[in-house]
Amino acid sequence: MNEDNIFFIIFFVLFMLILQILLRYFLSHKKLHIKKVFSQSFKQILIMVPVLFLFMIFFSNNHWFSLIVTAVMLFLIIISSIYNSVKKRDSIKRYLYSILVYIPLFMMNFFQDNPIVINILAFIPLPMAVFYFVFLYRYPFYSQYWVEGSIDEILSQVEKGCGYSPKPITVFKSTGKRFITGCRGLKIMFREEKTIVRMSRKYHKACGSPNLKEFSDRITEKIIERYRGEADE
Amino acid sequence: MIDLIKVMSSERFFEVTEYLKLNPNVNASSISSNLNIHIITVQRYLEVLEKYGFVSSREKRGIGRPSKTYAFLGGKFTLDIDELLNEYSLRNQKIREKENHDISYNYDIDNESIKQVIIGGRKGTKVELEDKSGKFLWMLPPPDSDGESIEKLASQSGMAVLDAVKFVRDMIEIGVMEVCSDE
Repeated sequence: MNEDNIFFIIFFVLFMLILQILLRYFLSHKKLHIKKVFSQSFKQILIMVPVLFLFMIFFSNNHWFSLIVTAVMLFLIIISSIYNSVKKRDSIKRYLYSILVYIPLFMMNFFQDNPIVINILAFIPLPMAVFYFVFLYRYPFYSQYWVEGSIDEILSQVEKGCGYSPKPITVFKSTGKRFITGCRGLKIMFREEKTIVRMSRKYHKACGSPNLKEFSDRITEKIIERYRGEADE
Repeated sequence: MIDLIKVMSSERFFEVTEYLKLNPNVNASSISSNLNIHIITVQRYLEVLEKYGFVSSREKRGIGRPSKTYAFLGGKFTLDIDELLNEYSLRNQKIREKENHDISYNYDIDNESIKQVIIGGRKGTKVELEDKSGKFLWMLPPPDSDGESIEKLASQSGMAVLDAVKFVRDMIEIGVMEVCSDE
């Protein structure tokens, strides 16, 4: 490993860390506490960087294997997008977006001998990603960071030490539009007339075992308020 | 009791009962093909009749899956309106899910319905639920909530009130639900 490579790695890690911090800070609309922003970003980098390096080392020695893995990943992304669109779990636009962003990135692996194609494929998702971050800032209820920040606010207002249910909770309020949002451990599915909230047991415990009914009602209301532009932010 | 009243009010119930009386030891499939009634309907009639002791069944083993043959026994049916009214009066009881670490669910998030209640971990006993019962359980408020009345949950899931009361009793027995308070 020469000096250039070491500088590139340091630059890459620092860039990713700053990007993670900025994304969390701005996409949560400053709702996430700054300590949480830093700790989550550091944790993310600590996991992401070693995993990326392991993949790089492994794939650089197994070209055919990397092609097979890429093809399988592409297939799974397309199939899951089609399945979720058919089931009407979210808007088709969001699935199309994920296909347009991930496919060029995965396709890069097939053209390792052609740097021009690789450059083109690397730049296709860039405007899409920028557009997506602007979109998430404008409509923050789609962003997991904003949802997490809102949860922190709600948790201080609901009863704690309550029982858990492995069954999703139905809230008879909705935005009138189908979409899925949430964060790790919490899935919120908006449907035409109701909302379904599903919390994992681990997340429920980590949040101090909140009253599930009260929590589901409040988080749904908060998202609906923001969706209608009624929230004071 | 309500299940018996329901099947008795079905159009072809007495046709099936008469056929069984005249032709003992036949199976549901044979009744279905001879009377041209859907086998599910025949099976439902026979299950209810057997539950109240009006028919007896015997399992016949041979090549392939074992089949059940039925014989008509007859008997009396007394309608206890007081018992029905007692059950009906429970419709205003508020119920909610009971926290139970031994219970898990197998559910369909797209159809908003619980398909199975699993008691005692992944390899535990599985209780299959009908569509309406599954929807009723799906709507059930979580533990520590204020609960919801049986009548309201029944109307939301399209279930008859008396069926819902019976279902709630069964679920309380296995530790899935609990009563909060009377309205």
